[in-house]
Amino acid sequence: MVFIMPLFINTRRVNRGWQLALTLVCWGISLSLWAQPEIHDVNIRLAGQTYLLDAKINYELNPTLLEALHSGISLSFAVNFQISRERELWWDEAVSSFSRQYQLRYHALSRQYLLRYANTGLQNAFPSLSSALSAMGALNEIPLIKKIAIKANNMYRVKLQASLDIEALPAPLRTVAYLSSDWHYSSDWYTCPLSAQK
Amino acid sequence: MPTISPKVRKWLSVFSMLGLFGSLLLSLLLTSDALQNAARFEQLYSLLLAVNIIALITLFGLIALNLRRLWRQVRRGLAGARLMVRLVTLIVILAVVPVSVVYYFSLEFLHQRLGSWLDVNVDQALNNALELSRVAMDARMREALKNTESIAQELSNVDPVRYVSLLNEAHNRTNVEELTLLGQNGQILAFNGGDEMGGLLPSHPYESLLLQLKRTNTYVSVVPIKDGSLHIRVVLRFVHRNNNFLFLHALYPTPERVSNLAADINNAYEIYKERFYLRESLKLSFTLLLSLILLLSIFSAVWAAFFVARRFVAPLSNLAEGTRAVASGNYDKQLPVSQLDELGFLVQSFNDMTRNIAQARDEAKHSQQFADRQRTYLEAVLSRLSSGVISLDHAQCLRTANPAASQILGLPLHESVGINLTQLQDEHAALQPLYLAIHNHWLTGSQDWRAEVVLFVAGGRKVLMCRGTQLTLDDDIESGQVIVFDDVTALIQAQRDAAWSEVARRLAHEIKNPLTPIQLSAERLRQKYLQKMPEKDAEILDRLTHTIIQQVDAMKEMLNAFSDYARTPQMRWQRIQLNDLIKEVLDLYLNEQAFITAKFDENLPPVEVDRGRLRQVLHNLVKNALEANPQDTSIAVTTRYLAESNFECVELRMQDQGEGIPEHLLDQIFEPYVTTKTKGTGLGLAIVKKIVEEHGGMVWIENNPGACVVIRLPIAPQPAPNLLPSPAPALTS
Repeated sequence: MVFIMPLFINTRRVNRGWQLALTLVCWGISLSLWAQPEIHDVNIRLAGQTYLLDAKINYELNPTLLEALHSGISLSFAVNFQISRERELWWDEAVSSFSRQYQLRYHALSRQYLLRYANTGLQNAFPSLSSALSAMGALNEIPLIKKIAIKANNMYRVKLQASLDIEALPAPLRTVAYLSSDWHYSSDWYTCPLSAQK
Repeated sequence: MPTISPKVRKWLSVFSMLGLFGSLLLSLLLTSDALQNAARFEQLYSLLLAVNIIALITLFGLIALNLRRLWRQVRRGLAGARLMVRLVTLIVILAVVPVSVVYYFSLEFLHQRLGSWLDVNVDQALNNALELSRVAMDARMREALKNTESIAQELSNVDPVRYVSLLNEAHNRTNVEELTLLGQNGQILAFNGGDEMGGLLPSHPYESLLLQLKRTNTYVSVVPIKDGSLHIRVVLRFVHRNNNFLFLHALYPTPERVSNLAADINNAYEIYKERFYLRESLKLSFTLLLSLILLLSIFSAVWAAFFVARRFVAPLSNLAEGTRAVASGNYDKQLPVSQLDELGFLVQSFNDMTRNIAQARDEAKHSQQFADRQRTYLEAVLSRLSSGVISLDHAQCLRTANPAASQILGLPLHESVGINLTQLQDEHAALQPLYLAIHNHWLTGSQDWRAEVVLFVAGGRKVLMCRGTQLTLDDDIESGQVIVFDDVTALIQAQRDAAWSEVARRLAHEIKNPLTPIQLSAERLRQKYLQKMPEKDAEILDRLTHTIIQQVDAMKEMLNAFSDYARTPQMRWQRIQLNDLIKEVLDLYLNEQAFITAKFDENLPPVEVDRGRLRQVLHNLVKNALEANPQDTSIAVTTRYLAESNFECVELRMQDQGEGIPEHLLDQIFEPYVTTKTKGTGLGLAIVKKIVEEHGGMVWIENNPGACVVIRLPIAPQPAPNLLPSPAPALTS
């Protein structure tokens, strides 16, 4: 009995500690509970005088975004590209940066998902969200940079990230969007090296 | 570096704050506009919001700084701080209460109104309208499908080389806008489309659509084109006669009117849905905006309260500071006059007042200095006077005494200022004669009086010539008496000496000179005629001449004694023990029939005397005592040391057993030729008195009932120890 009591108390303490840790972890998970865009299959190749990039991005919208989309809110997505040159003793030098922008909205009358390529002004209609998202996620032959801009003996880095553009949301929604984790829909920066090819 | 004047700085501060508030207000207006009107400032909304919040936080910080400053001022008890607190509180309350009420009702209104705007009936109506549009479209879609199916039917039976021509024919025949034939893997086999599609390249039915068609064969849908018009898209999967699967993609326009109406309905529906969806966010945003406006109002009110209160309180706190300065004696304080209102007038009056006070103070200072100089001058004159001057107030309290007075009376009189004369007399018994003289004249109320007073004080016997004057001033308190006294001891002594010397000189000249011829003549008469005369006559002659000679001798002796008295020999001062000298003299009388009892005070301090002359005094006194009563010649001699507050002396008493001195002679007994005895020169006691006075002592006779001669001699001044190493042995030898 003499030994059991302190042990009992200790166990309870340990349990409480575990509970706390678990709660914290769960909370942390809940912050990013919903899937974020995932970038994969990135491939850079030289075609003629230009480096081209192919990639796939998996978009999976969380219920908040879906609800907004089906309520007539137009969602803007941007894929940001950054190309930088590595330097040994200094920060990397930014060589170029640009972004591809998409607008996704739901057309109630036709029950179609409209995807508009903001850079070109083209618009396509998709009967299902998944087809629209996969179309948006297919990055094919994105011209990255001219061949002459990539010097030999230098290492370059191409970084890309896909995210929802909160600033393009209607003004009243922005305040909420900035404060809610549901609206922070953004992939990690995906980095792949680039060196001069022949 | 040029310094900015406070006025310029104040206006700079005002303008900068006004600018800040103005720009904040403008920014809030823009934010509000951005929230409602999507076109103009929507891009700036977040930025504006952030700027507003940062600006408000800055403003809050500024106000917090002001508050802290005010709090410190209150804690330090700075003038006007509490008034400022009250003013600020009042203004803030006045501003905040109505603004808060408006804020509350605005919020209430916002939340209720926004809820009621979005009506369920409208929602339903819009849904129905949308459905109606779909129904309207359905007929067209069916027609389009049918048309496409017929084209596909034709295509399935022709060779691939005729695809294009067939598509052209179909395009011309029907209202189809674009026709695309795709192969099994989605590759375009043939295409026919009008330019009017505006940059729309062959619409590519996407892979997912093609995949979907593998299951269902047909796909019909309304498609919104970029410009907002509606088209109908049909995609078919059909089997070519050579067993290939082909896809036919066709786009049909809808009639413009239908398309526009449907598009309008869709737009209205979408806008409604969007608004419905956004209502909570909109409420939140409006609440935020309203809160920002509220905060701006409150902060500007608080700041304005500070500004106004500071401006209002500044002259008051200046005044308070000024009065404090005046209270602490700084009359040169001048306050800045900034406004020309009542407060400014007050400040101006304060400045005038301090200026006048400063002038008055300077004048008072000058007159005070003048009076001080006069008093110092008078004091200097008084202190240089050899006469003692004392003044008494109306209650006989000592007011002033000059150094000469202290010196003459042997008292530190300046320490007794304010003490009543009666009390002073009680403390210093030696002052009694002076006190009595003053008091008597005080009682009689005489304006001016003169009196001679004899005191026995520290310096010995002193004869003072006092003159008193009644002071009558306007103020009864200020009235009193001024008494001026001179030490005339030496003067009287000198006068007396001079008088007696003159008498002695004349006596010697007028009387002593004829005596010798008289005596010689008598002796010659006697020598010449004594033997020649008969015995009877000779006897008479002998007796007569003898008498003449004897009387002339006596007369000569008397004259010698008198000249001795008048003579003032050089005093030879010596420090002695009085007891020793008395013993020495009394020893000479031991063999006579005298019964002398002596009682000596063993602690007698030394006296400084002329030994020979004091011995003469003692001889005279012993002789007198012995002669007082031939039947009883007992004499009692006592010495003692008397110490009072302001003087110390040695007292010698010699008591005889005679009949004493008659009462009427007591005052004159020490004058020459006053005597109670039948024989004697009458100079014995006069010489005693003269010598004692030469020693600064006093002598008097008390009837007790025999005569008791009392002599008081001042004690020798304390010798400086290193100047007189061993005086005593030499003196007693």
